[in-house]
Amino acid sequence: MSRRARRALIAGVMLVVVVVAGNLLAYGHNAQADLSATHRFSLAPQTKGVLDEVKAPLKVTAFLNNAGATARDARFLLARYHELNRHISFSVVDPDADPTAARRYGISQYSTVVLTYEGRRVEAPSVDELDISTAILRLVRGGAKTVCVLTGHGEPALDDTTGTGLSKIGDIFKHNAYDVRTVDLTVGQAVVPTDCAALFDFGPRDPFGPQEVQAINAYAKAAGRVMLVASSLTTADPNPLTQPWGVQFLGGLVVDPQRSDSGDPTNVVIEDLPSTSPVVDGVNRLQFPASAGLAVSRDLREGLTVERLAATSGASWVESDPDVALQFDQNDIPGPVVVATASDDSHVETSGEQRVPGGGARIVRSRVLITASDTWLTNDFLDRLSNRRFFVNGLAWLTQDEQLLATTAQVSTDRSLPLTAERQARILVLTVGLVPGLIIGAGLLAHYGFRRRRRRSS
Amino acid sequence: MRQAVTIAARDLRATYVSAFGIGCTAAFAALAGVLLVFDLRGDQARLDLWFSSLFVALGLLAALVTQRAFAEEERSGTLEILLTSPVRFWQVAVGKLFGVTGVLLAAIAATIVCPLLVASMGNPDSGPIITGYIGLVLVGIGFLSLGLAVSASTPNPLVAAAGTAGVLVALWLAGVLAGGLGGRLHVVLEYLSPTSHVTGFLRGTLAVTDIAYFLSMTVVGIAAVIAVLGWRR
Repeated sequence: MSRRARRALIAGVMLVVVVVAGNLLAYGHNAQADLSATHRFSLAPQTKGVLDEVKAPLKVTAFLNNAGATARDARFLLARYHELNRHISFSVVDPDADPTAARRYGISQYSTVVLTYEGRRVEAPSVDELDISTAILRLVRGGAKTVCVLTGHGEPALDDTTGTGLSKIGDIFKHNAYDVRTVDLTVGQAVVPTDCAALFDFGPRDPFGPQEVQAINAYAKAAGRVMLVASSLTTADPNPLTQPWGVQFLGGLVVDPQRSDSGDPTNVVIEDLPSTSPVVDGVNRLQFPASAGLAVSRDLREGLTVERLAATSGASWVESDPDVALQFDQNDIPGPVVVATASDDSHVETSGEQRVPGGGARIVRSRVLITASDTWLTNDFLDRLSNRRFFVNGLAWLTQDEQLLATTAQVSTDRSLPLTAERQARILVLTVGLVPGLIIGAGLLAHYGFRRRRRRSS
Repeated sequence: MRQAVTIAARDLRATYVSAFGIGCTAAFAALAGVLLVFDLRGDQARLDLWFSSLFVALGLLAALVTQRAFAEEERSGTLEILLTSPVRFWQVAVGKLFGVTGVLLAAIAATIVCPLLVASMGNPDSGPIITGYIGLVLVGIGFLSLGLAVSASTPNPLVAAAGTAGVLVALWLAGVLAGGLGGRLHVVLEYLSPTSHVTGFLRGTLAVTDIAYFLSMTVVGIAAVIAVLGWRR
């Protein structure tokens, strides 16, 4: 082999190495800039977290009308899922064009999405990031967890879509693959089901009976998870439920002239999130309208820790008599006022460990999340500031799920453009007639100019 | 680099004083208009379908434009003069690429009236239009460099055009084949196919992977041209 050929060979090999390495590097990064108006095809960080959990082939089959823009959008979105995790494959099937496939999957209508993973199958109602990610979360988790929601004390309903309702909270449960079970302890035997991953009480209006208090506390002490959303604007006294967890409900109404919204000093904006608890991860500010105050006990029993999650400014106070005047006086409690806490109680039970023969000691861990306002998670306020993030973090902390979705469904902009005969004619005249005509005209001018110059020079 | 620019300018001038260059550009513009009407039949002010059709049309344009680059020169006897002149092979390859890229840019520029028309009639998302045009340029240059490599390896312009089309179809088929396979071969074949790399441009995203892929295609094409010229000498 000549020296020249050897050099060419080395250069060729080096080029191949550089090209392959460059592409491998780019392939591993998956970075992209999204220039689209609504960033519809950039998946949320939580979705990426869910996709990291997909370790085996996951097939997404979307049954859509192939002719429409929906099918194209579906392909774009599902391609992004595939780019982020190559275990995920997808196909878009038109049930009219391929009725066999539709029959095989038992599909009878458009816009059905079937996802299969490790022999399990779930369906998503649409090709939307939230629906697809929820379905993947459900598949990866292997089964739905049950969360229990307490009723019987005038709590707002999870299917109430009005401003004071909790339908958005209901959607969060649904989109994070939780089964919701309502529990009414005022009827029959007062026992919280043991299969509840967490128990929620969203703003009780009426007082708890002693048996109910006993049932809830018994559930919480037996490694239970409770979220208590209290309010002073009711006759329900939450103290029997909060005090075992080192928190006293002060009642009253928090007034913060320094940090509030819309000129209403009781519509408190919270900027102090002093804990390192995961419940305030990614939470910048909260809006807690009509909040009462909480106080953390000084003497906590061994194993119990209470995190002050959110506190109002130093200029705030707990107004003990809000019906008279919102003026600080000697009966009021000066700020900063704690409005949300997280209690974590770990204790060792001498027996009960089932994973070792003969039993043994086991750690029992209870978690209780308390907020002193019940308005912040209503439909009107859940999407204010970081309220939604705060709730989803709280849900994850209680149920110990790391990946939960706090994203909302993307709203697609209307871009309709009916192609009328006039518009079609205008397009054709301009693009097929005028523009090519101008190009040909310019070309002819250039051609004859060139020929004339050549003739002159010769 | 000056020699490369001189070669490019000479090629560009030769293309545009001939009916071929004018015809290609005008035909591409007219085709874009017809495709726009088909795209807008969905009654939506969006151009992703239009861009995806233009990507296919770019393959044809690349095959047509590059067939002249070397094969035509060889047929007319001017390639011998070029290769014996005091220029390096990389300068010839880059100059030729610049020349055909000029034709490509002119053809793409002739289609700009289409999104402008849609914007005047409706409310399209500007992001996918910008990425679509970036994609057209990147994909076009990648295709052209492959076309140049094929053109450099044959004295027959027709064979060069058919060969370029064949290479592009083979790359497209790699993606089709990947669909029926699993494992690493699936990943490699899917990555090799340009089909999987244009999706991002169509939906309004610029991905590092896609840009790296088309830049690599360009580099490989140019390297192949240099290798073929060296081998032929």
